[in-house]
Amino acid sequence: MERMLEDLKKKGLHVSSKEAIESLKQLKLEYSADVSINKIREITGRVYKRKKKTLSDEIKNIRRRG
Amino acid sequence: MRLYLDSSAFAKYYGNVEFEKGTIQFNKIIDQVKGGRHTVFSSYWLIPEVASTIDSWARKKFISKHDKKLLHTRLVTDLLDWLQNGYLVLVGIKYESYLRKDFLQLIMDEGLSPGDTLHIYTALLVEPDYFITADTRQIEVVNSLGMVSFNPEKELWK
Repeated sequence: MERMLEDLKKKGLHVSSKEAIESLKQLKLEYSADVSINKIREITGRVYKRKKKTLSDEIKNIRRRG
Repeated sequence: MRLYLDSSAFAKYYGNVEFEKGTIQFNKIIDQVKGGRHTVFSSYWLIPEVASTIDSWARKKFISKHDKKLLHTRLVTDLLDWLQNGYLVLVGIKYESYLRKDFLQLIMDEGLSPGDTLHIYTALLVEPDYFITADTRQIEVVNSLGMVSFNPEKELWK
């Protein structure tokens, strides 16, 4: 794994670092308690039932619209 | 194996199995990743892309502000967990790459959006065994560039 990451860095790529983890930790502090995956899937299921939209399709649509 | 994850596939993780195609296949991949069989790579762009989509659902009133907060919370929690456990490596290309002919050709000759292009260009440098995406247009280009794609909506993961 370490060698793989070193190879990517040699190609000029920036790979996730301690700073990325710290940034996400800061973001997490701004949110409330942990949320279960089942709760999330209940929300996305509700959107599909009402609007026939999935998060995946919406990502593709937003990209196409630019 | 080294897997590259497009945001359209990553979003399957939050899909309801009852309604969203490919969720079972995608969850199978993530179980294997958590079991140490593969490492997932993606662009840093994945996070703003998913966050923006969640926000668009709230603006269109598909979800409440409270639900939006729950989705954002889970997104940040999962990505932090995956990064800390080494399941996920986020990758950023140099800004100068946006001006390179091979980057711009993907937009101007292949008709891809900048978001599609960023993922494909990043993946070309990562050299994954599989590029995992649910986007059929992206798949055409990925395959033409010599990478192997996997669409969780249409294929069975081994």
